[in-house]
Amino acid sequence: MSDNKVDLSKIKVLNRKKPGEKVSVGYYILLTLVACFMIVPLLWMISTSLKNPADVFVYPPKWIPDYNYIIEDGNKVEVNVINEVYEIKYISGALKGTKSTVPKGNIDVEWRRWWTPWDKVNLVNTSKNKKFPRWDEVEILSGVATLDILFVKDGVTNFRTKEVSVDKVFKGVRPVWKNYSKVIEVMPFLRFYWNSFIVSVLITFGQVLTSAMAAYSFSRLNFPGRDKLFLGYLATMMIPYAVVLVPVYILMNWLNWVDTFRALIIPGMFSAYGTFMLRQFFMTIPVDLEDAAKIDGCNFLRIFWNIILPLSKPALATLTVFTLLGSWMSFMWPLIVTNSVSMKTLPVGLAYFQDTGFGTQYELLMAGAFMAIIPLVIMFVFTQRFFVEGIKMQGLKG
Amino acid sequence: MKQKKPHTNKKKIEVLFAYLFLLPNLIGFLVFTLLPVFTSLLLSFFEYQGLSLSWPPNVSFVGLENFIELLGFHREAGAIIANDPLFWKYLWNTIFLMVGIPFAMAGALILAILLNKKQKGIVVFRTIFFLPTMCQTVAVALLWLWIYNYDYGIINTFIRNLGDLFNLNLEGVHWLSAEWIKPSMIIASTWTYLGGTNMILYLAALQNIPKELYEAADIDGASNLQKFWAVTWPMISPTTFFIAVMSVIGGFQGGFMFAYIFAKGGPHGASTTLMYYIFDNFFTWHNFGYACCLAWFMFVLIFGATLINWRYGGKLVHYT
Repeated sequence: MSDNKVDLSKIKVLNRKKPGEKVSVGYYILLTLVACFMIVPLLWMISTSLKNPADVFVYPPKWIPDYNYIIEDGNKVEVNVINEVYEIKYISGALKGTKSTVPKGNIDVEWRRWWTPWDKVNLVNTSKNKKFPRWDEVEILSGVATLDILFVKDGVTNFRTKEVSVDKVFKGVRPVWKNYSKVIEVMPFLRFYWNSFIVSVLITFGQVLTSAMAAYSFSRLNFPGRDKLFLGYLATMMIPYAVVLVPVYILMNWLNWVDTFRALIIPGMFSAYGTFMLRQFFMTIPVDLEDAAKIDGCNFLRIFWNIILPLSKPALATLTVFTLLGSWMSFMWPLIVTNSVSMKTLPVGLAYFQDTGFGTQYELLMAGAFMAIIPLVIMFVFTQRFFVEGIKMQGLKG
Repeated sequence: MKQKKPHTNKKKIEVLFAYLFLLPNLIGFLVFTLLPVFTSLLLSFFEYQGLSLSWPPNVSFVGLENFIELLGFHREAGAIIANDPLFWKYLWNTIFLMVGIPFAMAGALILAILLNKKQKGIVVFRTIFFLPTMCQTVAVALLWLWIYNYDYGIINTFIRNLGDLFNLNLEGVHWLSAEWIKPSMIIASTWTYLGGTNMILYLAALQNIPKELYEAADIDGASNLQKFWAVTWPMISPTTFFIAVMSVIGGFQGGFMFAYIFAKGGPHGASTTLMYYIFDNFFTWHNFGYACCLAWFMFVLIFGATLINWRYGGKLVHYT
């Protein structure tokens, strides 16, 4: 006994001093770079979803939705810049060091590249290629802008024109939340949500229940033909979905189920894979527990309900999470069996949204896309453990 | 006799109960899997065409004609031409898209190695890596459609900025053109699945390697690279093999969603995969028989790929 203890502590000390566990700053930098690669497209989605339509197609792209304002009598006043005259100094390029005065129309002042800090550097197009300009950096020394000033006071909007010097115009950050409400206005988005929700929940409920019941039969009860039947289940797991697509659709049509919830839900409620996974898990539960319950006079239903199910919570949770995710993301089947707009699920609704004239309104498309992924992200944050375990279980299968 | 009776009774109850419990799943299995599988096989020997699925169905037995149309060749003006040249093009597209598999696997392995350290904040990074997999729906395809925008997308912006840094007049790439759409689909789906299932599988495999092996390698004075090739790589080879098989199986069925959102299988069929061709035959043109024939061909491909993988891939795998 004491020998064992000494050994254990030695091993722990060894582990702690292992050189492999030391990591450098470079390691974290690498991790962060990869994380950026993963997250930048998602940030781009959010950024676009919060832009004014006019700011979506600008080059170079803006990352932060913004507006111009000046301060008048201590109040922020939103302004539109119409015409400006700047005195500028070139700080890079062929004209480096020279100064000149140019009106805005000529030099196309852009106030930043997408990775430079705010307001520090202005850019001038010095190439002949209008569409893809080459920029020289300039510094604005002074200037006067004629501004369209938008006053919003007591709910009344007024315009007037005024000369304001450039250094008194500020950039403010303003996300356009209206895009989100607009998506809901132009598309029955909440209906898509509801369809997706009800379809995924019912499919998941049905699949977990029928799989658990069948798995209990396969793992715990004896009946003639059990192993042959189970082999049949296994054999069909390799068959691609495309094979059953046409006959199941014809069946749906024959039953007059096309474009109803029944077609969306019922074919998804049965899964050979779920049955297989739960059966494998049930096999690991010791039989002794049941024997004790049987002696106490429990019937099969009570054994199933009071012993097997509570003991396999992790496996049930994993199957639940996977099925929820799979049915929430399912695209092809809902696309095929729904015709009317009010029956579409979220992915099909988004594709429909793209097809019906909103295909170039990226601020709306991105707002819709972001709304579609939010429930998944929230679900993932709370159920991460089950995902990881579930994937590992899949790996053990092979 | 009197002792046996309750026993057989109990057995009867057990059998009855077993069937009762199995019944819901079995009915679903029969109606939505087993029956359709055989119907599908049957239908692939029929021509079943028509815009409406009226009853009685407009079906005629054509024997192997669908398969001959699919896989056969004929002579035309001295040249040998496929009966369905589109099919061969789309098969090529499908295989082309699988070029991404080794890159995606290498990426997943690198991420798993990065995450396989007990450091603070590692769970946060794992969550971030997993995020795109969680979002994978039409939403991600729409996002990439916007990222690939020629004039205003961030990738072309990045390329132009990079060109400006080195004084090259780079203009970016037409990502959704016929030449580029397949690489675009590979990039988008690699991004989507990189930190997902495969990474978690690799992570689990890495964590299962006994520490003693590394300790022994340390004593022998092995470098990190030597440790990777001599210890890590052979120990994770079953996982690599499993992921490769699953990726190929997925690859034969893949590409539908990105192709649908990006360009509806276009331009000129450049992004149409086997799955998309089945969808078109079935849903767009209502060639039910031909669609079933295609689906069965896909099944045979998958079956064949699995067999080849098991037969020859097994030699490369180190099982302890």
